[in-house]
Amino acid sequence: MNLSDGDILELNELFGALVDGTATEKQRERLARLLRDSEAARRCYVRAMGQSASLHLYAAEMQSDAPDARPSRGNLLSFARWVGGALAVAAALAVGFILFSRWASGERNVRPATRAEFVARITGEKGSEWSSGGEGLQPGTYLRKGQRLELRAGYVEITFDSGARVMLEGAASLDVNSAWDATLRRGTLKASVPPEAIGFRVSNPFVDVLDLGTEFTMIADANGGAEVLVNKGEVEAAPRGRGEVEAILLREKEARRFAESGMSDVTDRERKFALFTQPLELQRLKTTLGYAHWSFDGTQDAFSADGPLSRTGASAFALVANGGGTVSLTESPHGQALRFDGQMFAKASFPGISSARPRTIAFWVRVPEDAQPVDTWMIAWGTTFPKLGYRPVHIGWNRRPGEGALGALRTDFGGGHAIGTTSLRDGKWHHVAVYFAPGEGIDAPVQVKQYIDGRLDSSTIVPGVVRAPVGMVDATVEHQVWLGYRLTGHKQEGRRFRGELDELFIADRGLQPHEIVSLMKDNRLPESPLTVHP
Amino acid sequence: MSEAPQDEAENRKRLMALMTRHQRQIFAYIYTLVPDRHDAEDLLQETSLVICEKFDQFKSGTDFVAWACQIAWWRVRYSRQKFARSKVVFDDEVLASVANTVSTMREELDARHEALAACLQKLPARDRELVLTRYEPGCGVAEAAQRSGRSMDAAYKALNRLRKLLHDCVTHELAHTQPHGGAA
Repeated sequence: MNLSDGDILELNELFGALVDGTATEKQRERLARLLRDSEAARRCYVRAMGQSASLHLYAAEMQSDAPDARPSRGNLLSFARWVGGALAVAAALAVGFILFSRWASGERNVRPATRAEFVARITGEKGSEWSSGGEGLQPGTYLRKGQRLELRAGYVEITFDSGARVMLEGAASLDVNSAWDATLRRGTLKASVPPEAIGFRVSNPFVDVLDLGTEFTMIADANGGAEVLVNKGEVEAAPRGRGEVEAILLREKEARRFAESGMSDVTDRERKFALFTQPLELQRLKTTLGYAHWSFDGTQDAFSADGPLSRTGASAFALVANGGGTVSLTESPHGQALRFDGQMFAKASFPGISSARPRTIAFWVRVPEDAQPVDTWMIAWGTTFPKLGYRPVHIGWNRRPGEGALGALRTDFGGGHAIGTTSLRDGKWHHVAVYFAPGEGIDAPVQVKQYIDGRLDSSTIVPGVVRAPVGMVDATVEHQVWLGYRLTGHKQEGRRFRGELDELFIADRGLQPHEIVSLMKDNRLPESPLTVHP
Repeated sequence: MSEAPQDEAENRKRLMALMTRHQRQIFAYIYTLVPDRHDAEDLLQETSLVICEKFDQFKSGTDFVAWACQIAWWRVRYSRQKFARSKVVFDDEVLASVANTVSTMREELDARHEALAACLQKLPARDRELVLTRYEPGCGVAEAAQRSGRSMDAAYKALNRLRKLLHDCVTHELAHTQPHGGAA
């Protein structure tokens, strides 16, 4: 049976309603009847649905192609050929791709695993001996959220991503709950909490200690009781024993014991204070630190880098003012800054930026209060590994209020995103640092830590879906850093960044919290980093 | 008896290559039976798992897409109860008829997919943006309407018109050009 023009018109209307999710029950029944009765209608339907499937794929691909080499939607034909050559038509079906990648690496019957979040690192030790299961724990080891440490003897220093630093003395058992929270089950710890980590908490079955910017010691005994001694500053201690409800403030040189029976004085407190204030020499892992720094204090159209990596290829930023944009400089807390007007962008070579090596990207930024969701793209670079679907990494501010705080720092990558809580969209200067570690293996968790003004703003990522097939590498965006540009063919004119950027540092490893604070306060890295990790 | 490690490694490479090449076709097949992006992606994931597990049963040199679509078909049938309560409207009889029709149109669908890129290129930029935004992951008609400055009603109408335009353009392209020109 051939279809009349009227039939085709009706079918098209039904197909549209079906794919757009607006079909009524009556329309569905009508479509089912037509498909049941007519081969011609079925063929028409298959073509229409095939077209919709293709549009889903093309649109997914166009979300993440590159600016210069890959054409935008204005040049889709050549894009399709680019996709279509060696890769044929395998566009973006990532769920399957993830599974196949995992299968190919030897793991079967799995859905994408829950991604482990690292929240702390071991940064020093002295004579440490671990109980069974702790083999391999040493300076440089990352610690997962929820990880339990069983230290049989010796000392271990743990630096939380919040910046809080804990010295654990064995025998001890500690649960690493988050970047802001630990539970001492038994043993002794000394916590040092810089201003950026105020709010760090150590708990025990009988007390919660909220650090208000200080140094304190907690001794948890085998009976479950805990002694809290404040070495410097003050803490808020909330008893959890019988009859105790009010939190108390403990000041410098004050101490209390917390137990099931309630609160009491600490015996032998002078000796304990003296003991826990003695300095301790730790063994620390030391590695080199490579970084490039752009101050943007030049007066040329290109701004050169300094730092060790400037000698190995990190180039000057070349400014591009397309579409009538203008290049301008403005005052910043550290000299002058680049002002982006939503048209201008900049790029520089940075060998290795596209690799799986961890990086820390730090810079100052000022975002206008009236910045629009098309003006969010601060910094981007391409990636060259399949786990991220060869997708670029973008640092910007969150333009989707449904996914997190509007204006908060946001890092997007193939397979997920991280969103902070502090809005940058306030017209003020903020220091931003993003630690990005894609992980080497297909199953290694991606880690993103975002710091605003030296304080950890977010450390949890929202996993997404890798949508690219194997082999989709765009050499033209490799090893380059882009400022004020969205690396995507989905761009529309003006979809870049509006605001100011200054003092960009890119380090070739994860910086520790105190190093980030040093960048924020002094615009330089500490002379002798205490501990560094690859 | 389990496979020798070398054979298994070869099998993995072979499967990766086949899936990389044919995922689009498997997805299109599933989407035709279950025309909802998220449902279709879920089913593709389930299908992918089964393909992984059963790949040692696939005979080299035979039609991989047909074999994979057969697995997808059973996944759709298996999930029928689940989807029957949601968006999918077709009963078993209609599903089977559509599946049979799809299997006879694979070459045409491949050619249409490639021709579609050229037709998208011919659309005015504003229309192309509307269509691609509508189909972008995480977006829909509402976002497409908002971005293009149209009302929802106008966006629905424009999308219907553009889909028809693209369909006709693809048909015209295929009638006047070599169907596989340019593809590797």
